[in-house]
Amino acid sequence: MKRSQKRLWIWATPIVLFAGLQFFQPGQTNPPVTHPIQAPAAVTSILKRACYDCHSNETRLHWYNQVAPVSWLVSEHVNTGRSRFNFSTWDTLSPVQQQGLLWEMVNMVLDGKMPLPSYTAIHPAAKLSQEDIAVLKAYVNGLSPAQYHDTTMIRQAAQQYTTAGATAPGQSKPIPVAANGVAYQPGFRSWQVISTTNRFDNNRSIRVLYGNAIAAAAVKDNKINPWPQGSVLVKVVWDIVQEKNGDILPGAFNNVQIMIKDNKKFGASGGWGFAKFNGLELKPYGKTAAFNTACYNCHKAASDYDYVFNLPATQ
Amino acid sequence: MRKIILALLVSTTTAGCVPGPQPQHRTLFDAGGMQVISVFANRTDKTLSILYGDSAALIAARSEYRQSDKEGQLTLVTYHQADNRFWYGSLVNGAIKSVEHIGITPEAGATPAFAYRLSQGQPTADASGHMINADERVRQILAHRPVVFP
Ligand code: HEC
Ligand code: HEC
Repeated sequence: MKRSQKRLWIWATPIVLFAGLQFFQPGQTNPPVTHPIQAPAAVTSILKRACYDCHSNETRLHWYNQVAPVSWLVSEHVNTGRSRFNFSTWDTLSPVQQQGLLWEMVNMVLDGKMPLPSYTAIHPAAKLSQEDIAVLKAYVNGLSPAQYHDTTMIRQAAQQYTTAGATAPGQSKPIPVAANGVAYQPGFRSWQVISTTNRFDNNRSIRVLYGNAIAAAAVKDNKINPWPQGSVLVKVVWDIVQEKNGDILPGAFNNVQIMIKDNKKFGASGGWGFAKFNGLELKPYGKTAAFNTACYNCHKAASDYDYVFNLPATQ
Repeated sequence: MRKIILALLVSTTTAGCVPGPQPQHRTLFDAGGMQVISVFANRTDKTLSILYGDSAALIAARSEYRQSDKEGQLTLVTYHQADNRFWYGSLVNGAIKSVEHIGITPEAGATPAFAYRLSQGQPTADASGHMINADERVRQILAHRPVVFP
């Protein structure tokens, strides 16, 4: 091959390959907007600017997003984004699901995880300012207002306390198991307490987090990135009764949530197997093992600590 | 092919996120084999508290501390409230603010006797800043009904 011919090939090959890539287009389409989110204009204008390209059926496609291989990445993001939640079909979700997602959105934004950094790098206008974040925070706070001295909560707590006291603690009951195979941990009350939390979001409650011996040792030595195999975390959740003087008093027992580190079995969710057991009957949450992914997706907000949120301060 | 190119693209966009220096230790309160009796918080004082008890105290708690056959021990750990680093909407315990203890001694045919001791932190003051005496503090702590566990 002549030198000039060789040089031509060096130039031509990438161009031909690039042109060839264009035949593989994902064909991004915009399905109809059926049940758009209803929120104040100040809120929707932020969401439209920063989130709609991936979380709605109103994706704006710029020319550079339609060139492969960038178009593949864009298409992957849009399809994944829409599958998680879609502002164009928002009212098909229950109010509880909507509130949960809105708080999750604020947190994903605060953690710098959303909008995707790879997206804001190309679309700087989608970055949220401190004012934007304040608008979103005020909006979610307004959706989940405090109810002081809630008599329903007080009555439920009193009732549960009386009935639970009458029956002996159920040692002989069979141990419930969630659909993904994670079992309830009956012995947690003698484990080390890792932390306690009080939530003022859509999940107003008070919690105690326990760790088994492996998890407790890992926290003390701060070897939690990643948490060691065999770590087990058990979080107990109680309703709350909130008083005007600032008191947050525990109400009825609500549920127990568990995270078990088993890299072999739960490699697809950061090595964590999740489970939730509702009410004193400890009814496993989730009809199929698919619930595990939803738990994991929100816990990605705490990916810096291997998906665990509640850690005591360091010394 | 598409997956491989995508993986390459993604790896180049996420590279460079090296975690910062990691602190060495986290202190966990050692309750010495006692178990949680109750948990509560105060948003005005910005505190979160856990009340622990030994087995005798756990039983006494069920009678609202009117009866006890054995010597028992309660420990109340009060933490400063801190923001959760990863979740706006959740407050987590920070450093310990105080540790208080109540010894329970059975009294024949009467309600038990209670001995108060503060082992860490400052004595509790009321809303107007007046120091709360030991008897009143014991009464406040014992008023916390045990939470229901499954
Ligand atoms: C460039 C596309 C893109 C944009 C823009 C974008 N997202 Fe996302 N979003 C995604 C993808 C992809 C995922 C799934 C990420 C994962 O699981 O790792 C996701 C996941 C989420 C989740 C987690 C949902 C779940 O399954 O639990 C939340 C919350 C979220 N996004 C909020 C937002 C908000 C709020 C905005 C705007 C401020 C936004 N996103 C903008 C692509 C995007
Ligand atoms: C919408 C977001 C979200 C979803 C979905 C979610 N979690 Fe969490 N989870 C949190 C937050 C925030 C915390 C820490 C705050 C708290 O508990 O007070 C937490 C804490 C926990 C903890 C204590 C360990 C830790 O990370 O601090 C466990 C265990 C847990 N969750 C289990 C589950 C299980 C099981 C599911 C699914 C059934 C689930 N979570 C779904 C947000 C979520």
